[in-house]
Amino acid sequence: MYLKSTSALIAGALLASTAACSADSGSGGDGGTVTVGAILSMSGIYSTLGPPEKNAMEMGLEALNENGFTVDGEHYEMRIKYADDKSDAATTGVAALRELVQSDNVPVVAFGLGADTYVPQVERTPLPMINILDSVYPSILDLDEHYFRTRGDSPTYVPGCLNYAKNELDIQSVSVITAAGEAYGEGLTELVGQAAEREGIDIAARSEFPLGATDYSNAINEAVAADPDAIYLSSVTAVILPVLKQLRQSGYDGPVLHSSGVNPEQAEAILGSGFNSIMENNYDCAGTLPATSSEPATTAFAEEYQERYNEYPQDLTMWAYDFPFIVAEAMTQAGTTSDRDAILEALHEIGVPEGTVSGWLPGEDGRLFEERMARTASEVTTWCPEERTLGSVMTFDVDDNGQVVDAVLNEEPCA
Amino acid sequence: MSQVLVNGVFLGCLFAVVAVGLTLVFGVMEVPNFAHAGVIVMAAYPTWWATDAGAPFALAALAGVAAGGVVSVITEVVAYRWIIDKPWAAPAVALGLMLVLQNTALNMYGGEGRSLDTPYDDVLLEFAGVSLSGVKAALIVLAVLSLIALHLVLSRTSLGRAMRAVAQDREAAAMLGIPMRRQYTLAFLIAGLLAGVAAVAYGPTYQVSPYMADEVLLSAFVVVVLGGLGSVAGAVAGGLVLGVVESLGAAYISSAYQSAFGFLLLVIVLVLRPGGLVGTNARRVA
Repeated sequence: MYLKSTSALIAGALLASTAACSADSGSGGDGGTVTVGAILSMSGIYSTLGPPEKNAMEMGLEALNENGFTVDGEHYEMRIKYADDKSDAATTGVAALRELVQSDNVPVVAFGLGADTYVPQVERTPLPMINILDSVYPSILDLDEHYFRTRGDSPTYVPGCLNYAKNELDIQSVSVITAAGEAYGEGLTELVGQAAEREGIDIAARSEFPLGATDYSNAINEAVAADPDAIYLSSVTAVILPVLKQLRQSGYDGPVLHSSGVNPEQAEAILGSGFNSIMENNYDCAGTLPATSSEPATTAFAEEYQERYNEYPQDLTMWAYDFPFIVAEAMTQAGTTSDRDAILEALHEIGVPEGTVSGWLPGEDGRLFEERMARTASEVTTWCPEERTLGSVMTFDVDDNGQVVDAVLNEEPCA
Repeated sequence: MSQVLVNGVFLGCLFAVVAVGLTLVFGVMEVPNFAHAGVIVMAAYPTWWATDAGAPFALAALAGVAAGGVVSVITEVVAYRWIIDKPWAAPAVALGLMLVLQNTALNMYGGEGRSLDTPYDDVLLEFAGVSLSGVKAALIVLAVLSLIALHLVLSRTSLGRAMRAVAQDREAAAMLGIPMRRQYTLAFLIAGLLAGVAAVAYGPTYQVSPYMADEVLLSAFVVVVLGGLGSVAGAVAGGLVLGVVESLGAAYISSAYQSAFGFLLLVIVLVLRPGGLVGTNARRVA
């Protein structure tokens, strides 16, 4: 009798744990939890990106899980298993992806950097991979058909810089300083050349510095010696801010253009106590920022994020917030939480999910992803010294020919 | 041309002050001290922390230099001392120490770059069409002063003479009664203080981060080999030559390959003068 009871208890416990495991691993059940993956740069040189992404994803999860989501008549909640690529996608990131895909069997993975290094793993074990960061030119979407991206790529915002510079700042020539060997920066430089030609702006000089360099004197001298009306800095925030600092330290006080998405807190941390004067006469062309957006849902998110984490929300935070909603919508449409192929197909078809905050610009047929790219509006921001923050001076769109269209100027960006 | 040369001198002074610390340790212990990069980082962060907390820059800088010395001595006491008879283990230990120090900084302060503010951030010196920012001028001045001080210590004090003796012939120095362990510790202390000087002088030109010294360390190793292993004078000369060559190459060929010019120079020197620019028949610290 005792043995029977014990056996029954053990069997019950095993069944219960098996059920719990299967719900957790994504196969579902009413009230189950779907686990998806996210590989973020939580430490290392790009750790300015990972923590805000994770913060925003957690906010998105909370909002999604308030009501959960329904798949094939069953109610689900979602959780995200995070992996830190330590800013080294090629080694740590690839290992993390393999574990998420093969051991944890997640149906979808979000990621920031490392699109090129993840291709072999995705080819081996295909699954939808949603990028929430990398707008490099040429597009990462060309690398693999399983890649989606929740932001416009560089060609959707770089032309705005040159357009604004020509029409509003009366700039006739630009020198470009590029981080050689850094894909995003090199792509920007190519696009700046194209956009400058369209706008009739002369490229006065193109100088480069090796990625990893800490002294940029020679590249700066070459750029400044050409006597340009403005200087464009081609790279990501962590790279261009030290260049900007040395550029100002060298005595150059003209307009500086870039597409780095720098926020006030990064500027203060990297530029130091003089950040307010260094950031003057700066123009940043990228996707709209949560705090400068005209969308009420986006600005509400920005306020909540700032209040909760006491930091200025970067553009990628709103895309990260929306990630759980996008996956849930795709799973609902696919009728499965685990069939990767079906979820992939559904991602092509879904519209803008309810509850998202990024202010998505759906395609002509109302789909969120057009050619696997979801877009928000682009804008040019400038620095407001009195407010010590960014203000939007122009929102715009870019047509298929790279021409800036639908430009809307903001006469009082710092108001 | 003048501007390019001034940039080259700035780079050269930075390379020299880092390379002298490396060559000092190599001369005495034959250790390729990759952990020097970590020491620079661990000197820069306390300086940043102190200035961020409101301390005057001079005081913060002194704390940073002292931190460099302390951390460097700790690396000797905790790790290098135990492998003095196992030179083949030194590179692995040095690399491991560098990772430990950098990851300690990463855990304590995060990976974001931090600005090290100085009272002379806004200073711009201009003469004869050449401009030099205050932070770069300060680095040149600090490098020159610290190298002069090092020269005086090595040439005018009994401690310095003992260190040179150890560098020239370790066994003979031991037989003469020179306390070896004290010399090892002293070499690491001086190297650490120089790393601290490099940190507080170089941090304001760039930013403070766990990886701020990686590229500089590579160039400094090139300088050490260029100047002759273990030669302080060679490290100073090699630093200046490398800085000017990189600057000229960047200005007149391509700034994208600035670092590559240094390695090209290294190959040329190794082919023509395998002992380095300041040839050394035996290891020496002078």
